[in-house]
Amino acid sequence: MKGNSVDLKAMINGEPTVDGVPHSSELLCFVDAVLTSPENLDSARQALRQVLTDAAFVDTCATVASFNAVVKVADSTGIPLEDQKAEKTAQLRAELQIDQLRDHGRFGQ
Amino acid sequence: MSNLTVNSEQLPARQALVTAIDTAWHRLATAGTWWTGKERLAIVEQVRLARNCTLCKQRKAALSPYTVDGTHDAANETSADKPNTNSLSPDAIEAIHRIATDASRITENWVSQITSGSLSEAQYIEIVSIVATVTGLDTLDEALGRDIRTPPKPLAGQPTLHRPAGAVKDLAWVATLSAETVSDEDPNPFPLHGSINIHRAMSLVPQEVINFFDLDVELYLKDHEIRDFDQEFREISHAQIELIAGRASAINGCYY
Repeated sequence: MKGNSVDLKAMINGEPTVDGVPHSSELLCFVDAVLTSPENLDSARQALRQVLTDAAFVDTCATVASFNAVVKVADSTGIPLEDQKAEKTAQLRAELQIDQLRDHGRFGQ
Repeated sequence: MSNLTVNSEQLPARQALVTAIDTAWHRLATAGTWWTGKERLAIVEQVRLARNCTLCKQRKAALSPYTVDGTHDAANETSADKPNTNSLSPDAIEAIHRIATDASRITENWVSQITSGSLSEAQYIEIVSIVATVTGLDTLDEALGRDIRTPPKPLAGQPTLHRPAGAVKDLAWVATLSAETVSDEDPNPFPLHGSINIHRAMSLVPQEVINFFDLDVELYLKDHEIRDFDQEFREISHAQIELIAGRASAINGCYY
């Protein structure tokens, strides 16, 4: 992973593929299906398993599960990003508009 | 390597992952810090019922979820086929449903309100942990393509009712501990899992930090593995893991 270039905007903006990550198309299609479109899940799973080993498929499922779970811990407690991390990633977060997600804390009140 | 059974297949899986899944289910059925085993499984049941709750769907579709009032479908279930549900208060059910279905739009104001009545802040945190845990377990099963697991029977026992003396509200919307304020009387999750903010988030109920992250580090990675790019710890690469993580977090609207 070190020294490689990854298009982070594509990753979070719903693009179907991300250059530089093996099997990104199948992985992203699978994540989208698990979390937003269960009607596509069987086909996405089948496509993913065509390109991954069984053990890699299990680890993919586990990673999706983790990031569908841990977000609830952060969102439900209002835990802030560490100052050091926020400082280091300020430009990146601005470009990706991630901080706008944090505004939910004032939304609708 | 061990195996996970998916329908008629045996898929190779790390033994630590298989053990963590079984341990998480056992803990869900066991008395916790603020809820009994029966109540914890009632929370699990509500998480699952929330997925098809009419009120939750209406709120999810609304510009602001706080403008839609009503009663959760699941709260109306009878005790005949949902024997655990009636042990939870309306505030507890409201908390479970909102965390399960619309966590990214939870506000500090709402957390303050929901924990100012019959539901204590510590009970709320234990609910957060249970919702997150069963969400992880069920998402894994759905992703694998197998039925979600039938919960085990609740185990007898009483909650410890232990609130850490050092917990203060200085970081999040709820009181938290740090590596400096945790005492010998508290379960201490920090040496095992780390003490960055996400590990502190549920530290008002420190046993739940242990319970949740014992599972999560096997679903994802241990803290020290996340930025160790010289080694791969899973059958997919760091880059692939972070691709999945980034997309899932974006879909969930999570800022962290």
